Amino acid sequence: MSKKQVDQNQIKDIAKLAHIPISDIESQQLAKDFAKTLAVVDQLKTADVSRIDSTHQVTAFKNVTREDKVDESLSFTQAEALANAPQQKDGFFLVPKVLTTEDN
Amino acid sequence: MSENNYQLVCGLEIHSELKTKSKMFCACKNDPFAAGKPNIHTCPVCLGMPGGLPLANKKAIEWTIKIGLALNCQINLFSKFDRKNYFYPDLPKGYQISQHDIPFCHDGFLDTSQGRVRIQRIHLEEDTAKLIHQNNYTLIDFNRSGVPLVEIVTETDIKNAQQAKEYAQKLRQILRYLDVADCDMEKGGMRLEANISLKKKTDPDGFLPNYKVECKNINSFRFMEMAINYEMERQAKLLDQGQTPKQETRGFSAESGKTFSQRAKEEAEDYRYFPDPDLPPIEFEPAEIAQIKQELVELPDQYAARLSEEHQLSLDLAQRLVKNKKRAEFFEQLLILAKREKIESKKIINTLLNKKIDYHLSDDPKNTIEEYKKLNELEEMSPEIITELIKELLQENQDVVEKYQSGKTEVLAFLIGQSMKKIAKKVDVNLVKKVLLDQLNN
Amino acid sequence: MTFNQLTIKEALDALTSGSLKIEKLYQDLDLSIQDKNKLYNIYLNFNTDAKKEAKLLENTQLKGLPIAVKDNFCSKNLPTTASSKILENFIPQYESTVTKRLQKAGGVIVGKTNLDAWAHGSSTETSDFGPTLNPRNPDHLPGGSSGGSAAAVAADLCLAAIASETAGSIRQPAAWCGTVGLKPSYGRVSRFGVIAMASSMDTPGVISKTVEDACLVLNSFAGPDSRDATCYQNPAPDFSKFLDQDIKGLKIGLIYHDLEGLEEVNEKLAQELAVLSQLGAKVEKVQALDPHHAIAVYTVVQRAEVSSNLARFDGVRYGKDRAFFGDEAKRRIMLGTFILSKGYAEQYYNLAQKVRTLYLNDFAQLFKKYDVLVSPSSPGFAKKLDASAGSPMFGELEDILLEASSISGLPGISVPYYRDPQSNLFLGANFVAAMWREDLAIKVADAFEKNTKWNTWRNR
Repeated sequence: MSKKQVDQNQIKDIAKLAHIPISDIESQQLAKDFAKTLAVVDQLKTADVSRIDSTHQVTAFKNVTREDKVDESLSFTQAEALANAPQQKDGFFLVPKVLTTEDN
Repeated sequence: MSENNYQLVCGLEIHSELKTKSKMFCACKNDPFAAGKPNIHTCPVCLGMPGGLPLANKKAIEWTIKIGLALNCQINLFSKFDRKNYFYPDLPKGYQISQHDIPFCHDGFLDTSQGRVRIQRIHLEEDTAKLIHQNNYTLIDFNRSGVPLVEIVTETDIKNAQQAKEYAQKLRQILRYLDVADCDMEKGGMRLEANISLKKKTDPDGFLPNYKVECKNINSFRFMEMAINYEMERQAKLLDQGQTPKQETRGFSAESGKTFSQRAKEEAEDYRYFPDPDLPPIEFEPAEIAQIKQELVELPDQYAARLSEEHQLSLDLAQRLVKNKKRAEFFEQLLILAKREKIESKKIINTLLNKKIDYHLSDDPKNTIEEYKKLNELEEMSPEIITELIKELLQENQDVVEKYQSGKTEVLAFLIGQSMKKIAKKVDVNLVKKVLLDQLNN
Repeated sequence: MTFNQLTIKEALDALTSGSLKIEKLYQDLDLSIQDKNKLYNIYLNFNTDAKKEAKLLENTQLKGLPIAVKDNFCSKNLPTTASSKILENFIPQYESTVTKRLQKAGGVIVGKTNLDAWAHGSSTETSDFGPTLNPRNPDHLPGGSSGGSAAAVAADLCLAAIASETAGSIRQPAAWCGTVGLKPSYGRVSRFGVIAMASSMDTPGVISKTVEDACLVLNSFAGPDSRDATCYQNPAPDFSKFLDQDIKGLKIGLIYHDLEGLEEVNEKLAQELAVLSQLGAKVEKVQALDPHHAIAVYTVVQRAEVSSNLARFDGVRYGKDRAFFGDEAKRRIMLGTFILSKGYAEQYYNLAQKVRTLYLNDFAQLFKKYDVLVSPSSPGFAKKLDASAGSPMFGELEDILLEASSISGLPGISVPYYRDPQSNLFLGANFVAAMWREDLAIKVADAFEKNTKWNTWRNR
């Protein structure tokens, strides 16, 4: 598979992984968009990073933690938690039946 | 049976919720079981609202290190949290904050009666929400979302189902000793998963089968034992037929006692792990780890060994006393007091274990000692009266006397018991025995 | 002139002296909003209690002045949409730290401004609720993603605006709309309650009429927050202390990228910077790392992080389901997912984070020699409407001069340095300093603004 080309089938796989519903036409267009973007991004490979570490956080902070204390003022009431729920029942969020079981 | 040709290749993954006051990444109350109502302990963070940001619970991290040290692990002085990305309604952010390549602890072990089980890694993550499946919909309660969860993964050292059970039981005991988790299996505070495959007994030592079956949602040690045994049988049958068991996830049914297929796992899901940009990494000084190690409570195995040595008890007996920390502390106090009062340790222990004295672990051991003394107080009675009473008894039980004298010496115990009953006072049983024997042998 | 055309400083002075009553200010503001908002499509929602709240805030820092807020800041009980259909009906039950502090200091939220949906872009054209027009010239775009906030300031539909930048989203629209845009150091301001885009780069900031105004507003919300682990734990300084400073002896590096199309903007900037030399600073042309790699780093890291950050929008606890994502959002989520996926993470994501270090190192070297670096904020004037269509890399290319400092977390301020008399469009100069050194950027930008004639409010 050519490095710069991501084909339609791969696009469909990615869409599944990302839980983004896309049509056939969209997947075609996305393949083209990908190509344009990857052309820009592939430039990274010309950089010399042979003795370079990754930067995941520019602040270089460490050990930022909190004490094990409950602060109810930061919590929601049940009503607040559910205020924007598209579907709810008896204080629970509600979704159509989940068919497969995942971890836990 | 065909299983005899195969050797179990099994590793266990055990999750345990930590009993911190607040959740892992937010200040909500950590109280999913007793909450009473759904969704009352949530906030923008654990509900995955837009703009919510995590803040790591210091205590949960310390406790994870404690657990690692208690299990003889190496501690990674530099560690971090990573995002594990996948979609599921119980996962509000669409990713779980977990640890990927640099877990807090690694390469430890736990010894069982059947040998050492090596621990590959221990890491810290957050729990998901609770799903309640109804007929055509599913309800979600986020009280549990974000509770700190420790995951302990073994190497494939588990030799058989009994060892798996023993390992899990000892692990739970240690977690409770450290007072970091309640491990209530019924409530899901501790969850067991077994990865099971078989290899031929003739295969070389390091050989790993080309498949593995994951058994999940097992909520008791007994069920885990049953699941492993069932799997061994099922897989052996397939292998005998020249088939490779399907790589999949299986659940366990308590009713049938069998495992059943839940989900095919053709290829592992791509979790696209990357370091969580919202959480700065964690770095320990060696001195901090040493401090935690020093402050580690005495664990059950050590406790039992020490009590056995210090109080002249068999190791078996000592282990019965240290099943949980409260029990161990009560008995240790008791033994120390008993020693001072020159009471034989084995005697008083057996008295308690045989329920001859009522006791509670919250009792003051001083009172228990007093009760024991009362129980064993010897009452006064003249030897002449004892002799008379025993003479009477033997006359009343001529047939038994004849039995004894004809060689059935085991009836002596009966006679001793009857003598004590007749005497009806707490006298020195050794004296009674002496008098009895005197009379019987004449 | 109407009172909503005042700067923050002028309004505060007038309120203190009594020559202005807050009700009058809001009356004038209301009329302007009625007059212009529909046309420019700046505000998506209004705080109907604004006037009421303002009346009670006389004795506060900001005395009830009207502030526009970009609609990616969660405002309690006010709709917060990120300009996306997914959150069209979302009403947060919690407040972002920034807006909480702003209001505590006496600022009043007028309304929520339009942005590129999910802050993805540099035009505000990818908003699900239509583009915002540039008040300086309505055939043109305001820039993005904080186009609504920049337009609100330029059109005097607020006295200042809160915005956010991931790579250019404050400074570029500020430049295109002829206003000031202040992006603090990453970590200087809490991100709690800001709808996350790229977590390692998102920085809340201010778009305002003057550098002084930016300082006054930033003062109300910068500083440590226990709800954000990436927030700097040192207290923030009083940024207005750095105004009206002597810049004699400061060394200013004019970043000179020899790229096609930049000749005009570079030339004009070099000319205007002469005023700084006259004030005693030393201005020197200097080469920096090729910004194209910065584009690549930004593209990779941003898409990876946003693909994860947008995973929470599944329509279960709030909002609509993922089918309602717009095209740009879908593109970025898909690309981010791809970049992090097995077999690709190493050659894209991990590589990008290494190249990012190259930029940090380059800036570290540059800041050994210079106090402040400056370059044009944008390769050119505001583009015409529809310019971003069909170009998935539009934003990145428009932000080419800003990405390096964004991925490095550096503070930067954009101030106008030229106005085209025909088009009425502006160019902005981007003054960048080392991490936590907003003081230097403010000093120089303030001196530049006060000693040139490009600020429309200082030069009415």
